[in-house]
Amino acid sequence: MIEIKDVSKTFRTKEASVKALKHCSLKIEDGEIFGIIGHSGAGKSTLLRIINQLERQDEGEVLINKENMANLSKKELLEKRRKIGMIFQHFNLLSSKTVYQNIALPLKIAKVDPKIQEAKVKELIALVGLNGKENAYPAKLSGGQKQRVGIARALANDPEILLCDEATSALDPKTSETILDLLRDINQKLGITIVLITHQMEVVQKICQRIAFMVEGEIVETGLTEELFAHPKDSRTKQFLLTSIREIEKTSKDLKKLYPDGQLLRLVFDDQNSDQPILAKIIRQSELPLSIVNAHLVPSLKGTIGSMYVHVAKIDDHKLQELLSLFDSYHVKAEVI
Amino acid sequence: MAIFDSYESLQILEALGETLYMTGVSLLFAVIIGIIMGIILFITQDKGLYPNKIIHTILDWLINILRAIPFIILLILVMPLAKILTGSILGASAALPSLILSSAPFYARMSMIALNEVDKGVIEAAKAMGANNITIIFKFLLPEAKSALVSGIALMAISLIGYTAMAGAIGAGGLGDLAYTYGFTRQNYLILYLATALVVVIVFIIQFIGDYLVKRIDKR
Ligand SMILES: Nc1ncnc2c1ncn2[C@@H]1O[C@H](COP(=O)(O)OP(=O)(O)OP(=O)(O)O)[C@@H](O)[C@H]1O
Ligand SMILES: [Mg+2]
Repeated sequence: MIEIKDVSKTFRTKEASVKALKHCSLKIEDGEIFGIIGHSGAGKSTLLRIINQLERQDEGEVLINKENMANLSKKELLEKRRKIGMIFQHFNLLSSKTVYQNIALPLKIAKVDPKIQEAKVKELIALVGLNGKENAYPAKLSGGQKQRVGIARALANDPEILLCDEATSALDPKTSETILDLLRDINQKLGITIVLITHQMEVVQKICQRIAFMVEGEIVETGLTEELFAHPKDSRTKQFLLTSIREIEKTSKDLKKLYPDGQLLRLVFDDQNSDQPILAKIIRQSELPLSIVNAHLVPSLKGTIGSMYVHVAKIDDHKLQELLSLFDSYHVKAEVI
Repeated sequence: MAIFDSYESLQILEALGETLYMTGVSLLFAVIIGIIMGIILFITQDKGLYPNKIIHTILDWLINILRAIPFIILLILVMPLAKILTGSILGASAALPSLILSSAPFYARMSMIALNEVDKGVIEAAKAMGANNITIIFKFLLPEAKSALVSGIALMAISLIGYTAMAGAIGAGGLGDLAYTYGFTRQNYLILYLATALVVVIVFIIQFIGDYLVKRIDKR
């Protein structure tokens, strides 16, 4: 269990001092995938780096498995860090070393028996799906492959915790997906606690059980992912989620231009209804030819959630109301745009 | 070498040997001293692994001063030191202290730049892995800076060849000395041209080897 208790941190430079963390408290349970979201500069990276003490807090305490990180000697801290893996947005691999050598490096640092090292590296390469790439240099790998090396390297000393700093932000959406799948696999297979920070909402929606939302150095809200997305309590969380609302507005506008005639509807699926063939049922019952024109769906822990836009040829008001109440009966939020 | 008599041929070979000796020995020392100074500069800088303003500033100044002194003047200034160390102010060995003193700071600066060019993220990853500072320097920074460090060695070797020729002017021997005393003063132009050609060939060979090694090492 990771406990962050009332931690504050101020960065002082010649020009200014920045309060990067203000009285942050957080409890992360073993085996959990915990997300930290927030705008750029909110203090996410600083909070993450406090966990492995790459950054020291000015105030407050960090406890890992009830052990206070401040009480560790320098040597003990280095040893502790070996049990906390970390992966990065830009991978931070050694360009002068091969995939194999990069993954073996943490084992060398921990002075693991060379024979065990070899077996371990091979096992890790298989785990992250890089068979055959052992002797390739990072420059010859794709972004996704580099992150796989990063993950393998982070797992070398069998850590209990994996810290991910924007691990998918430098990757295209498809590659992001595969890396997130890998992280979820690792979490389930090895039972590692994963703390990940991101500014991409799809990422937390996809794999995080719980999330914390940060604004200007403060944790303003913590909760189950679905809860926080469905019913944000804090006005600043709502504001943050508005960014996605703005995207919706843009999509709506674009679609209206594309389909000037007829009706456009926006449907919202949450995870209560997303595993049923709702659309098929509605088309049958309403006898209206609905066509899907746009969709943003992400698989979440309990099913598929997200939004979908459908188009229907011009219908009268009465029919439209019927259609809307039909969606309502399936607990799908529908709105005319 | 039918166009030279046996005495001249011997002189040429000897001069070539002296040039290679002066360059090789001073290069070796300059690289060792330079890289140590470069590492100290790197780690003591602001936000370095062991920040220390005093050491950093002193070393920085020392390097700047040494690099500012023209080599020919350094050569004269260091003569007393050479006498203490080698017992003479003449000969190839006597030129070594000034050759090393002029090129070590050059390499110190180059290695600090090479180390600073290593991606900061690599250091971050090393720390997150639980590496101590010594490990970070030897297992992360130096391997990552290797190609820049090697290309710096080639660059310095070439500039050292030029310095040895200058040292020749004050009696250190070598191809520069040969070109000057035999070629220029005694108007033996064949020797002048040959000495020049040899210097050029050596420079080309060093450049070639340097480029080859850098290309092999650099995996970026
Ligand atoms: N080493 C440092 N020195 C000075 N200021 C810093 C330092 N590290 C972070 N900061 C400042 O602290 C604040 C929080 O930074 P942090 O990197 O934690 O934000 P973040 O939420 O991770 O942002 P991003 O999404 O851009 O990565 C920022 O204002 C940043 O400028
Ligand atoms: Mg960050």
